Amino acid sequence: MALLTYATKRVGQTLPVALLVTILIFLLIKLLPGDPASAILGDRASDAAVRALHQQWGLDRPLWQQYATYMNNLATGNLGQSLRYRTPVVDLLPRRMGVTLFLVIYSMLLSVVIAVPLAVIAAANRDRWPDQLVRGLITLPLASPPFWIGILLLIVFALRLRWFPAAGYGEGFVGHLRYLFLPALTLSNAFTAVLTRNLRSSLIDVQQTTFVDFARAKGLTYRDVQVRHVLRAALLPIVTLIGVRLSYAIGGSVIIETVFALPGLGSWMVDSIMARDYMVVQTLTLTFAIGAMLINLATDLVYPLLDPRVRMG
Amino acid sequence: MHAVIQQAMASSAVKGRLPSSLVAGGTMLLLLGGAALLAPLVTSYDPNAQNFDALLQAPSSAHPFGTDNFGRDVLTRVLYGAGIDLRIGVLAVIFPFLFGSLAGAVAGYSGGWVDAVVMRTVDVITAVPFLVLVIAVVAFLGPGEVNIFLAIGGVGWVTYSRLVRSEVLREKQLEYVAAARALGFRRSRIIVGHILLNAIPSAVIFAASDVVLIILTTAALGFLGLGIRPPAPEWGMMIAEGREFLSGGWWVATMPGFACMYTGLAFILLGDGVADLLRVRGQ
Repeated sequence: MALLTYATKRVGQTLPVALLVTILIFLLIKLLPGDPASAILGDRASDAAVRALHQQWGLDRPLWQQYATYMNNLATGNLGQSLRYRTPVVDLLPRRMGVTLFLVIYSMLLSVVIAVPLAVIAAANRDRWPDQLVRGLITLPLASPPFWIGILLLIVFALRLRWFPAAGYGEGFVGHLRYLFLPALTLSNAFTAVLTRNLRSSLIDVQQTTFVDFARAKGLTYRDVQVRHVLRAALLPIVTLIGVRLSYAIGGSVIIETVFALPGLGSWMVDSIMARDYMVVQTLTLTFAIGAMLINLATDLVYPLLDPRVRMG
Repeated sequence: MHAVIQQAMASSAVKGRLPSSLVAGGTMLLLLGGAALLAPLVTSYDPNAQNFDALLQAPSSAHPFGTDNFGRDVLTRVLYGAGIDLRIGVLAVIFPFLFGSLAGAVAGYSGGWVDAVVMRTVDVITAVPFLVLVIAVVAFLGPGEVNIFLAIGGVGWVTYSRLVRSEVLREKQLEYVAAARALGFRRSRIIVGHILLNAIPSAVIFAASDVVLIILTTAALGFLGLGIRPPAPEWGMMIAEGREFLSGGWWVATMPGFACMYTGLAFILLGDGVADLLRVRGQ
């Protein structure tokens, strides 16, 4: 019951923020220097075309009426027209979103697969050379541009060794796994670093608690204690990290998709900026924002289910 | 050993010695900043001089980082680029730091509707992924250095507000604030002169790592063609230009990235050092 109250409260906090986010993103179009209709249609647009766009968006009406039109369009699924592809945005959205989601989730899984052993090794060898090596290594991706790391991986593993394709999305699930390996690895770097650092200190904290001593005293092997008790308890605080880092990963995907020429939302956003397809840029910004908010909400809702202390409290 | 290191650093700082990470990061930055300022003396090439007799040459003694597709010396461009990326990184952190900290302090101290307005604005801006919002703002404003400052300033201040507000909420309870109030000090004096001074160290520590984030963001904007206009030797843009020659001239795209990583590491070290220093002072 307490859980339901918590969930309702948390959803109740998200909704007004989501509404305010639509205002923020609606106002982006006001940042265009000069008349938005002329900026969108370009220098060679006829006066009639500019007037028509003014009419269509209601640019001559007061701001709040323009926002009402914007919200009405959103509510009816009219997310604008891609000037470049001559297609409604809503038709292109699902497939593009699938690519980005695949990339982001894949990168998160890679992070966990890489970070858990690194953190376990570092924590087990606390302050000896393996620990110092791991801590040194994870600083590098935090200091480097992710797109540059992507290019390094591309040069070594795609162009020289030819282990992985250099660009594209591939066919079928296995194809996606192969084509997206380098992009996902690139995107995973920053999260791997943060995850390793947090998991390492979390492991060290848990190892010093009494229940671990108790498990050892019961006669469980070192390995059993590490996997069944220490790692499980140490992973818990990491769940909240995932929500925050997924938001970063969504931002990073914009650039990584451009490096590896992936047909996702991010590369679409960049293409649309280059093509001055401002309606699409606006809609994609909103899509990214809503996605990030839903992920944060989901991790907050899942956390109490995983942690018995929160659940009972 | 982390605690041991901290103790060692604490005792060394008490003795008036600086944390070693602060010294290391500071030295790395002085070297880079010096090389950027003295670039005309360090290298005899012009960053934008094209030389069609020396296109895409591999690193050699004449060109330690090689040359690009216009025969420009990559090392020279990386050095001049430090002037751009370092400058933007350091300057662009000032507004978010000052405005964000002040907004957070006022919100935390005042409470009520002021707090609600500031914090809801913070919530809304943080709801959109940082890089997405910065890219979107620059996309609408147009490329160029001023617009980079506007975008990063408009989006980046929120973290400082969160940090400083939570510090202020804690400080507000302490006796010295009640004393200042009892002495009849004006609100602005209490906020700026007393509370903010004590709440600011966490914002200072964050600012050092924020510079890294801003430099990486600037490079990302340059990479996407939304940053500084060519032919200025901005690192991200140089990496983007080198993408066309990854097989025949890997050095064009990779060398500027190493410079970026070096700068990032320097600021991370500096930030660790500042954190140690302030933590010691605070105790």
